[in-house]
Amino acid sequence: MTFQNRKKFCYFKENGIVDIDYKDTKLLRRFVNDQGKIMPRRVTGTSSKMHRKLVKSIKRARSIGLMAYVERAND
Amino acid sequence: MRYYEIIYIVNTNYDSTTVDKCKEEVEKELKEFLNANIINHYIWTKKRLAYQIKKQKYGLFILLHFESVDTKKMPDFNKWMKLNSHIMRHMTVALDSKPEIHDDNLKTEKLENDEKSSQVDNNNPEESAENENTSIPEISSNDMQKDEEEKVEEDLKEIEKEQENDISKS
Repeated sequence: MTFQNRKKFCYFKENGIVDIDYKDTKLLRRFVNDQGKIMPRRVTGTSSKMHRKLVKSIKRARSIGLMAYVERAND
Repeated sequence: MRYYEIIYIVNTNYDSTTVDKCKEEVEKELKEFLNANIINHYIWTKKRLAYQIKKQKYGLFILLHFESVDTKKMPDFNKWMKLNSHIMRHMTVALDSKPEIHDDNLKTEKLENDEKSSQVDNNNPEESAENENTSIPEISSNDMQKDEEEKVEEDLKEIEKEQENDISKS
């Protein structure tokens, strides 16, 4: 097994995104695993400031029915 | 003075008249409860819901932007929305900045303008040449957008790879 030390980066800072819209599910789905769980910051590399905003908008999307609370993984 | 956004879901089986009625009702109540100044009120999309809401699999999402000063009666308005049988679910969000004014007619107007310009081109060959010159940078800007999209996709792939690596490490 080879170790790769690729530096993580914040997706939002890299692309100049300041506000995260809860209606933009295409973007939010990148930070959620196949079960619908929010990925941890240590995996995605998002900055803590943006991660707080991200979590808020994912939860908003869930409550209005745009994203799933629980998604069954395909076996 | 703050700006707010309300999103609510309506049954997809409703025809346009009932949806319009529903919208009118909501606007009326908004003005009554919150003395709101409505900016946008339009149908956003028809979408498949991530989970069933009131035994429905699909929903018609309607967006409403407004500004209001006194929001003391917001709980009452939310209660009214909840009790409204037409509305499956709703959510109110405070916005940081002024929302852009939505216009359904923008797209059609643009198309009409394009048609007009093409007619002008046929009449005056010189103008058409100028138009061609101006149209070239527009295309290049589109290409730029495509490039950016490709970049985003590449970034995504990298993130996925990293995630795989992390999983395999752990």
